[in-house]
Parts: sequence; structure tokens; C-alpha cells
Amino acid sequence: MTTWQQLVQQGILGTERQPTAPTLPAPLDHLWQTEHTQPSPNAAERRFLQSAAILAQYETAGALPLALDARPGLTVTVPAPPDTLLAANPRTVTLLHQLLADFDRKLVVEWLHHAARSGVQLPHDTLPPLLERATKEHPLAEALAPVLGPRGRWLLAHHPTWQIAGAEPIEADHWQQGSPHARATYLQTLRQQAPDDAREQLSAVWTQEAAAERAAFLATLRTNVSAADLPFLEEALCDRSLNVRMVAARLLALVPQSALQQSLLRQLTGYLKIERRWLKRQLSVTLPAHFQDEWHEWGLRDQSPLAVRIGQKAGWLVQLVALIPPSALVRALGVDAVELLELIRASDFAEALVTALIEGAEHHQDYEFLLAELGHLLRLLALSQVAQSEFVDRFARYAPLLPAAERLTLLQRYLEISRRRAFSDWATLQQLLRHCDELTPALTQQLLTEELPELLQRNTRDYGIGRILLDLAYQLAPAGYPQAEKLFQRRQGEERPDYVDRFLQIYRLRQQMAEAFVV
Amino acid sequence: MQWQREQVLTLAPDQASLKAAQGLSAPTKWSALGHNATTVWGECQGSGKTPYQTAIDLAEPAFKCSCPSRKFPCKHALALFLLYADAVVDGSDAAPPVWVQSWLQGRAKRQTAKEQPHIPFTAPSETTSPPNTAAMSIDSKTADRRATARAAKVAAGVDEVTLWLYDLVRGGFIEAQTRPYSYWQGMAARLIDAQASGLATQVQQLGSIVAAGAGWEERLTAAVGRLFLLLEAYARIEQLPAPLQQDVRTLIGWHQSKEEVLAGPAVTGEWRVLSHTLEQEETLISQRVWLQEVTRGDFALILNFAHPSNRQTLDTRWRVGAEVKATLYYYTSAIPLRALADGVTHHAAMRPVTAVDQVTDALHRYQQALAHQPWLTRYPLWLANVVVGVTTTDPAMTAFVYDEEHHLLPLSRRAKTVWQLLSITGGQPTQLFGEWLDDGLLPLGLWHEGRYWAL
Repeated sequence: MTTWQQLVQQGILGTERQPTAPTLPAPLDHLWQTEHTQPSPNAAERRFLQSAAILAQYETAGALPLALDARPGLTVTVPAPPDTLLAANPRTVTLLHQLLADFDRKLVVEWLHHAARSGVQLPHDTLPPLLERATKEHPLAEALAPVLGPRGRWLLAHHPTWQIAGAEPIEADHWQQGSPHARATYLQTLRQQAPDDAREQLSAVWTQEAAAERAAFLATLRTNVSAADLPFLEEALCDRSLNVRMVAARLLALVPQSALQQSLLRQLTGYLKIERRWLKRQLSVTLPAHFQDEWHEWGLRDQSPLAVRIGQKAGWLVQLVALIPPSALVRALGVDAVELLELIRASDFAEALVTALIEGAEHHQDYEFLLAELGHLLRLLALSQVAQSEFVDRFARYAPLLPAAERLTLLQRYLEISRRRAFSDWATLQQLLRHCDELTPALTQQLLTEELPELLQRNTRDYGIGRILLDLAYQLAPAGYPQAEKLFQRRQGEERPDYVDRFLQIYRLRQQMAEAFVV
Repeated sequence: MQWQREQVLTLAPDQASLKAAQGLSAPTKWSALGHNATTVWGECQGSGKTPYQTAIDLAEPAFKCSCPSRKFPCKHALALFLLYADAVVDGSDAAPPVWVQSWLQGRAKRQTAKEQPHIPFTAPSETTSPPNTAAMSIDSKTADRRATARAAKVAAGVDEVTLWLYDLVRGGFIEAQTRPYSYWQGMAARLIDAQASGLATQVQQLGSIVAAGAGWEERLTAAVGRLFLLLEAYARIEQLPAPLQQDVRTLIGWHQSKEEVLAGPAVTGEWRVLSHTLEQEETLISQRVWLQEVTRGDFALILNFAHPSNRQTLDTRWRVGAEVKATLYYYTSAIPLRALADGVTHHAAMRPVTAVDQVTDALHRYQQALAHQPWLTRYPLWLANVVVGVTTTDPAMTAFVYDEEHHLLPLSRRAKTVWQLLSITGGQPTQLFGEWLDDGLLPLGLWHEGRYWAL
């Protein structure tokens, strides 16, 4: 124990319990010896305090720098790899600093999307605050991952708690030692980058995995599924687990070259036939006569799992329809998605078959069919034959599978149909907007020149207008900002509500961002 | 030199003002916006009928606003400044309106009055009118009486805190750790009554150390040692060199007046503005601005204090990353660092910096200073070509910098910008400026890849 440590120990215990101070090292001893030759009432305390004064100075004034190599656990820093993305221009950097100062997640995410599209890297000093927040906020993490660049990933590897899904380098350790979720994530990531490697790695451990893991890992092969996967998938189709077989069957149904898809289409075109009667075409439905052996392999059940009340044979047909990607069936029947839906709706078993087709569309992410269904609902909405809420619920359900442009087209059609009702029922429109990205310039123009002025004229002090404007501020096309500014031009002496200022402030920032990234 | 948005944001008196100002920094909120080379102005519609008239003199900067806010600068002034920084305000050669002109004229008059020669304390005979010797004699006697009375109060305070220290070490630090907040605060309050505010601050710091986590025992031992050394030094103050006497008096609680400091030698030069930090305690904000003379490399610390509700006494002239021409007057000290600045002009971007100190040199420089002023707990260091390191395996040192010889300095636990520093440097060597504290280096800025970064 050093003299300093002995002194600290005396300080902790107190001079009452430990009156004897440690002896100071030789060069210092004379400094207090003369002081304490005479006994005094506080001699022990004085001696401690003076020793502390002397030793503290001695330790500090004489300290030598520590050597990196002599300190266990400390190592040199391996430099970050060079940047591969373009540096952001100063205007965009200033804007990002501004957005981070008054952190508005939606605007920051928009900046990150701009950066990703422009192929620019984040300013290095903004990485720590963004990574800190992105660890807790998933939407931010999603937007941040593509623009982290080498510096961001390097920084991430040094921090003990920052984690951004999709940003970490894929490491074989995750596959060998990770949790089932981590392993599935690893496989999913690898599948995006090297589909064959992912399949091979899964194949190597296939027989050692439990059924739940087999099903979960197999499902990751949906990414980049191709004819190259057929042998492995066909082997999985014989798995002892029903869940695994179902996953394998759905994957095989996606591959046009697979025996399963070809057999499935052959059977379905036998059960579903389009016939011409008079001038009209109609769908003739023939139910299967018996449950075929191979259907067990495909994961079908004798009893229909659907909630719809139908017979056993209809249940088999419905399960077959749900298995096939609807676009494959549409092609096989020689119609388009809208027409097929109309024909099915006019047939027996309409409800069950539409449900099955939509299930297949959702599962296979076959968005054309979902678009046709939403279009159908819009037509019913125009005729007031369906409630707004039904369209909104379906839109919300299918939106993640639809391309952004298609979502906007649907929104525009919804606004045309329910023009008078859209803004009076803002909650409904808000739900639709939540599933859309930036509005098109045309739609923006329409809102700013027609709908909004009308709404403002009706009631200029409604709290709801504040909410509407706040939502729109983040979604109107940036090019429309001058129009918005004109709309809310303050007249001399007129007091303007705060929400209008907030709307214009956000909208203007978005316009500035768009302009800065174009430059 | 154009103001940057980040620089404007540092002028905000608090977070609420910052947020409010950002809300107002839309041109639609403003009318009659304009600016020229030295002034920005505009009118902002508030809740009343008449818009608030807001103007900024960019030279200092100084602010004027007709709103009733007591904050300084107010949200309108900040918002206007943000608009200017964002280049939203049009009209670079516009003539200011009458109300701006009259404000500028008033300022110019006050400035002229301020620039009249100082009347040095030591040379009253140089004043233009003959001094009233009788009145001076009475004043001098009153001042002497006051000084004697204060010295007696301070001496009593010193005696009391010495006995209090004896009690503290007699009972042991482990017992002190269980004491309530009032134990430390009570002693500090009695020292303030004894007009020994410097000692009071040190007693409060002891209380903070006890509650500050791992390693507190060692830091407390060192801190009580330093405090005792100060008390002993005060008892023998006549034996100390004059500059050190002033340090001891300052640490006890005597303050050098501005007039005294401004009567000292002037140091004119070009200064780099290396850092600008605000440290907020319960009822006090400390503004710390580190400067470095470009040619000689001398450091200077501009230190101001303000109550959180009234920041007008803080100095808004400093832009980190700039170089300014200024005349500085150092406070008397064995290691002169604190200074007053006068005539701050000509802001320009900082020219490249080449730090020369390796870790050993920098530490040695601090130790040399410590030999002259043993209570020096914050000291400026410029480190050359250091690399930032982090580790999760050593709880006593989670971040550090090391030089080419692999000598390292720990980063202070108070450093909040370690990750920013690491991110900017990317593991490459850098020129790092910071303050050496009792537990390590507090990074404040760096010269990296051709520009200065404030941390």
C-alpha cells in the first residue's frame, strides 16, 4: 500500500479511530516534522491535513503520464475506414444541425432520406446524437442505417449500447451463438447479400434445429427466392412439422419453375373456369372431389381453417387459392386482377374465395391484387355502398405492401370521391395520410388551392385545423410552400394563430431541405 | 465573418428561449426585415397590436427589443439573429429605420463616454480636476475601517472552518458521507456571512465530492489537503510572493475590482477563441471563454458570472473558431490566466493551428504551473497529434487520449463529448484543446482536417 493510500485510509476511518498518520516519503518528511514537535489538542488532525496537502501536491506535481501499453485493457484505436460517400454540402449540414437542435424526428428522418437518395454521408459530428436517439427510436434507425457510412459503422462498433438494426456488420458469431431472433436476423441479412450462402448455412444445420427455428429460418429465404432454392425447399416440403411444410409450400408457390406451383395452377384452373354465357363471362367453380395426398405435404388441412362458414370441399379449394400468388392465378386464367375479383364476387363462395385471394396476396406481397381490391372498395365508397372506415381499415392494412406512388394515387382518388367529407372527418384522412409519404405536387396544389381555403373559410379557429395543418406540414410537396405562404399571408395588424406559424415553419424547413439537396 | 446558426444558438439564455426563437424564425412572422454590414432589424408581430421592434448590432453583438421580456437576448432578438444567420433577411445595404438609427446613436454615445481614459487608482493626481483631499481622506479612513472589519470577519471564518475541518477528519470521511446536505451548506453559509465566499465554494465542493461516486475518498483527501494548505497560506500570507498573495486572497473570497485589473498592463494581440462554455449551478451561471494569443501562445480565460434569470452580464462577443483583435488585462496571479477583454474587433476565421505539446510536455507544463500556484485545478492544454481511445473494460478510465509515444491522459468524467470527439477524428491523430481537471482532460475543441471544431 502506498503512503497516499494509507493516508486515504486514515481519512476514511478518521483520526479518532486511527490517530497515527503514515510516514511521508523521505524527501517530504522534513516539511512537517518541525511543525509537530510540540503537542497540541488537534495534533493528529493537523498532521493528517498537512500530510494530505503535501502528498496531494507531491502526487500531482510529480506524476508521470501513464503508458498505454502498461495499462491492462487499453489498446490503440484502429482508425475508421475512409469515407466512401460524398460529403454533404454546407447548406444541408447547417440544416441538419438546426433540426438536431430542436429535435423533430420526422424532419430529421426526411433529411436522412434526402441524404440516402443523394448518396451523401452524415457530417461526422452529428453521428453520436443520431445514434443515441436511433437506438431508442425505430423509424429513425431505419432512416439512419443507409447513410451511416464507414465512419458511422465504425463508431457503432466502439459503443457499448448503440444498436442500429441493419447497420452492424454481419458476423458469423451471430449465426453460431446468437438467440433464435439474432440468428434469423443474421440469415435475413445474409440472404439479401448472398442468397446461396444463406441457404447453404441453413442447410448445414437443418437437421439439428427445432421445428420452430426451422420454420422461422426457412421463412427468411423468401428474400431473393429462386429456382436455385428448389431442391432445398422441396426437401423441406417433406418435413415432419406442419408449420415447416406450410412455409416451404408458400415459398415453392412463389417460384414459377417449381413443381408445386405448376401442379397448383393445374388443379386450380380445373376448379375455377371462366365461361362465357350470353354476352357475359362468369366464373364456374367446381369443388374438389377428394383431399389429395400431396395437399398434406403442402400444409393443407382437411378442415378449413377459415372463419367463413363453408363446407369441407369448399374449404380445400379456399386453402389452395390462398396458397397461390394471385398474380400467377390471374395469368393462368387469362384475366386481370380487377376482372378476377369481379368474377369471383359474382360466383358461389364469393366471400371465402375473395378472403383467400387477399390472404395469398398479403402473404406473397402481391400488391397488384391488393390495389384491385382497394379500387373496388373506392368504387363502392363513391356509390355510398360501403362505409369510409372499411376502406380506411383496408388501406391501413395493405399500405405497407403497396408502392408509395400507388398509395398516393389511392389517396387522391379517395379525396376526389369524399371531397366534401374528407376534411370534416379529419381523423379518417389523418389515418390515410399516416400511411403515405410525401404528397405529389398535384395533390399538394389541389389541397392548398381548393380544400384548405374552403376549410379555413368554414372555421378559422378550430383546434382540428391545427392538427390538420401540422400533419400536412410534413407531407405536402416542398414545391408548394410559396402557395402555402400566400394562403396564410398575414394582413397588417392581423393576429395569426400559432399553429399556422408552426405549419409554415415546418413546411419551409422541408422546402429548404429539398432545395439544399438539389444544389 | 458571417455568423453561423450554431453560434447564434449558444447565445440563448435558456432552452425555452431557444425553442421559442426557433418558432419565430420564419420570415412570415416578421415584417420590415432588413440589414446592412453592421445591423439587422425587423418587426415581429406579438400578441398585441403593435409589432415588437427588434434590432441587433452585429459588432458585439448587442440587442434591442421593445418586448417586455426580461430575458436577454429575448426570443425575438434570437429569432431575428437566426433569420440573419440563415441568410433569410434581405437587403444587405439597406438604410436602417429611424428607431434603429436612434438606438445606434445612443449606443455610440455611451461607447464614447466609456472610452474616456480610466482614472487609475494609483495616480489620482493625473485627473483633470484637482482632487478634494479632505474628502479623499475621509473616504480612505472609511475604506480602511471597512477593510479591517472585513479582515477580522474573514479571520474568524478561517478559524471556524479550520476547526470544522479538524472535526471532519476526526470523525472520518465515512461518517461525513452520512451527513445531510445541510452539514456542508451550513458551513458554507457561515463562511459567506464571514465574507469568505471563496472558502464557502470550496466547502460546497467537498460536499459534492462526497456524493460523486467512485474514487471520492481520494478526491476528498486531496481537496481537504488543498483547503488546509490555503488556510495555512492565509495565516502566513505576508511571507508569500505578491502575485501568490493575490491568489490566496482571491481563493479566500476577495475579488480584484475591474478598475484594478484595467489599471494593470495591457496585452494587445490577436486571440483565437478556443471555447465558450456555460456551467450552471443552482443560482449561478459561469461563462468560461478560453483565448490563446496567436503569436505567443499565451492563454487567457474570460470568466463571467450571472444569475440564471438575468444573463445580461454574460459576454456575447465570443465566437468559437474565430480570431479577434483584443486588448486583455490579466488579473494578478502567480499564473495569470483570468483576464478582462477590451476593444474586441475584427472577427476572422481561425488560421491553422499547430499544437506542439506531447502528453509529457503538457503534463509537465501543468506541473510547472502548479509549483507556482498549488491550487490550480483547471489548466489549459493544447495536445499535438493525440488519438482518442475508448474502452469498456476499465471502469476507472472509459475514455482517454494518447500521443505518438503512447503516453496517455484520461478524459475527465465530466467530458460529455467523448463520442463526438471520436466521431470527428475517426481514430486519426488530432490537435486537441482542453482543460486539465483533477480527474482528467476536459476536451473543449480541436483542430482537425482544416477547421476548428468546438466541443
